Amino acid sequence: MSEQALILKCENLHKKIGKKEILKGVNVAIYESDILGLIGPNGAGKTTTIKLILGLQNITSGSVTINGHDIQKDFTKAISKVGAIIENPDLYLYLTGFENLKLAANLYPGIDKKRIDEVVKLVGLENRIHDKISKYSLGMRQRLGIAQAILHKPNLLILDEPTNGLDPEGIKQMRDLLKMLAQKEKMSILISSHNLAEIETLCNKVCIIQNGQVIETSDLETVKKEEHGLYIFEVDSTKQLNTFVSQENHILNDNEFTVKVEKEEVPNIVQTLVENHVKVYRVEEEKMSLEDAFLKKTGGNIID
Amino acid sequence: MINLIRNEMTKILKKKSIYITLIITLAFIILTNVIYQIKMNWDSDYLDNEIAFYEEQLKELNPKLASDKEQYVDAKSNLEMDQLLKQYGGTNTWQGEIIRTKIYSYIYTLNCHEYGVGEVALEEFTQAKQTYEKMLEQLKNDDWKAFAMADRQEITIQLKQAKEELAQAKSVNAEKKVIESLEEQVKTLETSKQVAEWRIEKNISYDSGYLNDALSVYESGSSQIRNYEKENDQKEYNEKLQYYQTLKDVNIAKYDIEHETTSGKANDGRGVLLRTFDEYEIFIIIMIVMIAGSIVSEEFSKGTIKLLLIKPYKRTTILTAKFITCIIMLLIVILLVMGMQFVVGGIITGFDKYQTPAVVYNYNTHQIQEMSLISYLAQLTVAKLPIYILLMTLAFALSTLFNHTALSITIALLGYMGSSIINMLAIQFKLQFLKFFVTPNWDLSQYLFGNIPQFQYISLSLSIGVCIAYFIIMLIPTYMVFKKKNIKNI
Repeated sequence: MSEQALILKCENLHKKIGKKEILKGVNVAIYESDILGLIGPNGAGKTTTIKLILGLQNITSGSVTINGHDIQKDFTKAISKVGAIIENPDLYLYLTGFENLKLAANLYPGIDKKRIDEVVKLVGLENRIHDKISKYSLGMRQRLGIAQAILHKPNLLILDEPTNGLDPEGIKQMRDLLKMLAQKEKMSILISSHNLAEIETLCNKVCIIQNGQVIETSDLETVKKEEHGLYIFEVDSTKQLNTFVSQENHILNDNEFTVKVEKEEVPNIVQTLVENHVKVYRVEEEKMSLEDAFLKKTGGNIID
Repeated sequence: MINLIRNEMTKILKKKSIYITLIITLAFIILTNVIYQIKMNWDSDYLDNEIAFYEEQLKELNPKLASDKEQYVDAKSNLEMDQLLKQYGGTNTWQGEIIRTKIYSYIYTLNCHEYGVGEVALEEFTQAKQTYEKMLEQLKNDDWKAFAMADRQEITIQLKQAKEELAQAKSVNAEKKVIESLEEQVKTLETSKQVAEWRIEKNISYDSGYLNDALSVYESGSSQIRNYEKENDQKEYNEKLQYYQTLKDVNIAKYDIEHETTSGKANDGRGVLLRTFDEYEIFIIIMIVMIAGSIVSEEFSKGTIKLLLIKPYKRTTILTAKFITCIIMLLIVILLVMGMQFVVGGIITGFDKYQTPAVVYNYNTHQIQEMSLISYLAQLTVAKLPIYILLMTLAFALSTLFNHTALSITIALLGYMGSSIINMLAIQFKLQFLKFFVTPNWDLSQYLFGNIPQFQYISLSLSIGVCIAYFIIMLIPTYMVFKKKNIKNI
């Protein structure tokens, strides 16, 4: 971990709008080739954090450093290797996809037509690139939004709710695209989302934010593994289970129950079951989904 | 910066609204040029009505009754004049002019004699009848020069007499007042003689053509100028304005007569082109206010501002690029409107008209100055720019401060409409405190070529100062707000 370069560092970010404190000291760090998922309930401060990182809103206190440049003191340098989509991919609807990309390309040095074509191919819009955006579906707009965000080969890509409003097919495509970008173009990615399944399959790190505070930052596996040792048994009947299984168990239905034990205990339980003429069809360690972990951490969805 | 400006231009030029407005403007330009060329032929209708009216009147009156006599003679003379006018194609022909100004009096004299109104001596009657018949003959032969010659001869004689009277008055040391009035008479006659001589020399008939009008402008204007210059007492400012206007009209009329040009003609393609800003100003303002009022706020309402603000440029640079784009668009719009007028006017009234240079009267040197149309239009445009830039800045500032496109456009347009009312009030009621208000000051074209402003309390340097002050006052909060603005959720 330590040899990886630090791309983005947010230190003790505070944001006040009027008397309301939206962010109360957010710390986020992204290293090279990280895909960090910023998750939290609606109104937790995800979008605000992203806007502070991008310099779209004033920082009340704290600092944002991107590639070693402070966003407040040295905005143009800090932002020059960042690509982003905030909220929706807001594009110029009366222009074609290509014209939109050209506008973005004009504002960075050294982006030629070849690079635009390359990016268009990357997001798979070759066939529709000369259509007006107003004729695009939401999925295509998202992809074009990503295209314009990665034109200048940023090393940090920031996406705010990138799969919002996409159908399952679109979500899968987006996920594959982002994974490929992270590998191929060596980008670190910051994704905010409340779609946990999306984060789970895409990110290697998560940052859980609630009420303007980061309550957990860690590798995805660690978050999920924290709760382990839960085994699920599928049997022909659970009716008289408690007469012979001494371990603490939880009957889910007529055919399934769970037991929370150490691994070594599992064969003993199986043996007990067999001895009592219960047919065992399946024994499995249940991995906790991110959703469960998330709900457990945040303890519901409370917005101040 | 240049890339930013280029992007802004692309965004504007790809929008349909600007082209729709341009097409409407073009339609209006075509309409304007066509309307100027349609000869209003009210004449024949009007004459027919008059003739019917007088005929009716004649039926009701009895020339033998003493009480009706005078009315009868009046009506009959008018009827005969109208019939004659109708015969020669109305009042706009040279005959029309002659009939109304010269022949009518003879018709009246003859009628007076016939019905016994007043005392008409037999000698006078025969002479009148002779002259009348001679004139009718000349009308028939289309011989306007005969009238011109007669005019000149008559004026020459009058002038000679007047000069003799003046010399005599001077020799007997007559009262100053008498001498002055005689001098005035001599000068008036000299002008008239000049006009009569020009008429023959330059072949200017009495028809309602431009040069005939120029002759009458010269004649009447010259006497107004003499009156103004003679009186030493305190002058009202509007009299002075009138004097400046007349000075220009007379000198341009003189130039045109001498050069046989139509440089002062206002309603051909060239004339309308030179008055582009008078005719089409509202279109220029609508287009530029539309652009400036939406260039910032539309990006906010569509959310695209976020894309722009995370590009590696400072916010002030982005705003400056947008403002410069507005100014470039303003120049393009002005050029387009002029270009459309050039082509449309050229097609309708002929492109050869554009060969006549622009002719202006320079109040500083008191001389007529010729310049190319392009040079004149360039000077005029520069002088008019403050109006457009200030309105544009107003729309731009409102658009940035309130993120409300419709509001910015509406307020800027209302400001333009209100400006003429405020200026009128300022001038009419001499509201001196309005001299620091922007609208009486922003039209620098009123100072062109040494002219004086419409509003008496302002001067060129004050106007420039006021314009710059308003410009800066509007821009400072715009920049401050845009620089610090939080991009809220859209």
